[in-house]
Amino acid sequence: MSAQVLVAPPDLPVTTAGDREIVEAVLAPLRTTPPLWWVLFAICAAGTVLWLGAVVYTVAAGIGVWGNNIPVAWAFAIVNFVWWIGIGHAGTFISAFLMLLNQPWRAAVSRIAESMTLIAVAIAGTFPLLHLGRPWFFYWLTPYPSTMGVWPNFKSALAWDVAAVVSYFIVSTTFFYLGAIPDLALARDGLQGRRRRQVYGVFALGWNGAGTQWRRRRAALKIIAGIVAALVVSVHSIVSLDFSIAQLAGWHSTNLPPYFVIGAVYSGVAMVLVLVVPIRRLYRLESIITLDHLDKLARLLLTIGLLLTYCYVVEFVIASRSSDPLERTTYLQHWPFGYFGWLFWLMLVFNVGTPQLLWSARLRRTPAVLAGAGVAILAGMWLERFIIVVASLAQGALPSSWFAYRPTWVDWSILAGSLSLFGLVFLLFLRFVPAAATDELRRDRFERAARVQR
Amino acid sequence: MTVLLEFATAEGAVHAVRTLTAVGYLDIETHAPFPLTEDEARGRGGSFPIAPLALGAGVVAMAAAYFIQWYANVWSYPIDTGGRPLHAGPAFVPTVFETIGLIATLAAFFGFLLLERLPRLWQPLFDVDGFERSAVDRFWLELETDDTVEAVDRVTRDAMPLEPLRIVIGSDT
Repeated sequence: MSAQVLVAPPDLPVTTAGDREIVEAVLAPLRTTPPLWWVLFAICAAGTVLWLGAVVYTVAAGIGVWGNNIPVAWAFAIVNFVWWIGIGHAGTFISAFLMLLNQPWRAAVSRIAESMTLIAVAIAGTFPLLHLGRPWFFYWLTPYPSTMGVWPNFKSALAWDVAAVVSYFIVSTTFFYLGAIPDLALARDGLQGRRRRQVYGVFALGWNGAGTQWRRRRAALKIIAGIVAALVVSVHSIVSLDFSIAQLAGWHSTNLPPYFVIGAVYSGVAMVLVLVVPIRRLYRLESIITLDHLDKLARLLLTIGLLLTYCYVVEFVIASRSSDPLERTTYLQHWPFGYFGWLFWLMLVFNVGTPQLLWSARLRRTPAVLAGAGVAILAGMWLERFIIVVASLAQGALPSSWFAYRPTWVDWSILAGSLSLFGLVFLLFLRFVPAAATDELRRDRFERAARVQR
Repeated sequence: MTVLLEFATAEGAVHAVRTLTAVGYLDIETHAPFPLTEDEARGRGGSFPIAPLALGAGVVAMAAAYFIQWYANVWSYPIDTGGRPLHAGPAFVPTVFETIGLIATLAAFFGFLLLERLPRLWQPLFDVDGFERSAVDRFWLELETDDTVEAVDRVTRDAMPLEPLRIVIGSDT
């Protein structure tokens, strides 16, 4: 008897929309603007004004208007920086990793995730710049031959940050743009109006859809995907080195790089869900981003949530076995029962508790639940960074210098304003850039049909 | 002489490529709104050096990034911070790594543009009436033939049974 190898059919989400429907669904937002878009735009614009005001005030008055002070030298600015950079990880994770793994379902959400990445990383970059105090001298961080004869100190983790974030931003932008060129050509040729077609035409660079172009573009995309997959792991690792190379309990740990990368992808996937759920309703993309896609993202979120939980366990086990009394005290007393103890427990509820809902197949297919879980996890991940940065600094080895940090209204305004700025730019993206990779969705459909015929 | 065939479906275009290749047309380029399968999305460009280009750029970037750090921190502006060695190899690694990624990516991207000679906002093909639908919902084949009436007649005769929507005969595209 010959053994028969049974291969399970791949359980992958499929976009149910037809060829025509995909094109129409992607071009429709570029043609008309739903009223709700304007409402959201107005709200985000108002919030952005608040952000601008707080930033101008900070630059004019100096960073003394923030709540941080020695020993809590790093507070909201760094918490927000790490949080936004983390959010900026999912786009590349979803796009690049899933591309290398030949997962065609990524095409439905990859464009949204990639643009989210670009906006989040750009916003993240503003926080350290403001924290410089004199942001107009930011270029001192780059190696350039200056008449002062001074160079950056490359042994500093902050110089690594500059290299990591700037590289990541440029590489992600390139990846995004190369991926979007055929859809920009689609907008060039599929929309009415001379001005519009000219603008999309310039951005499409003269794409003519030749077989050779498709092949070369794919070759370039694959290479960049491989590079960006390595970069995405390195960026948050380097961010974590800001902390782990410092001699401070709560920071000084070799555990930090993988733990930070996992947390980053976690918050990023949560943000993707928060964005995708309303978008597919607002723009009627239910047949492109199906419940199967959401289910897949929810499983991803659950998996990463469990990985993060494991990191928490490892961190506390290592700390409890430490021979450094301050390290033991920081993890086992100051974090859970110190100044910010309640935030610590809230973080655990959000980050460890929320994903447990996603064991339920029914909840994974309920969009509102997924968006809610996304918000809770985003809040939880912000709290995690707050605990790491502020709770570790606030209660150090010397009780006489303990400092119960409180943020000021300027801190809050910049945080809330940065969310509005993100929303504003993202809404503009939705208005002007095709929101899904139509070429990949349509090719996937074509291949499927060819397979059925055979 | 260039002959263009327009098809309504991807299946029709793929079938046409296969049939025409079988009867001896080897110089066919497709124009489609999404990539047809690898062997069908044939084109004139043979192998392309994007990968070696990216690798080469990455190697140069690695050397340059290490050299800049060494030059800055050891040679041009040596400063002793806490007794750490001036030439701190491991501490230079993160910046080297990021620079490799950055430069190799830019090489891949601009290599693609260079190979495709983009941006080229206007191309002769774009003057063909209705060609713009090749980015939306039509599939075009582009064949090169000899510049004789007989050759063009032969293409037309071979293409007719494939039921293209249109056959466009251009002098030069």
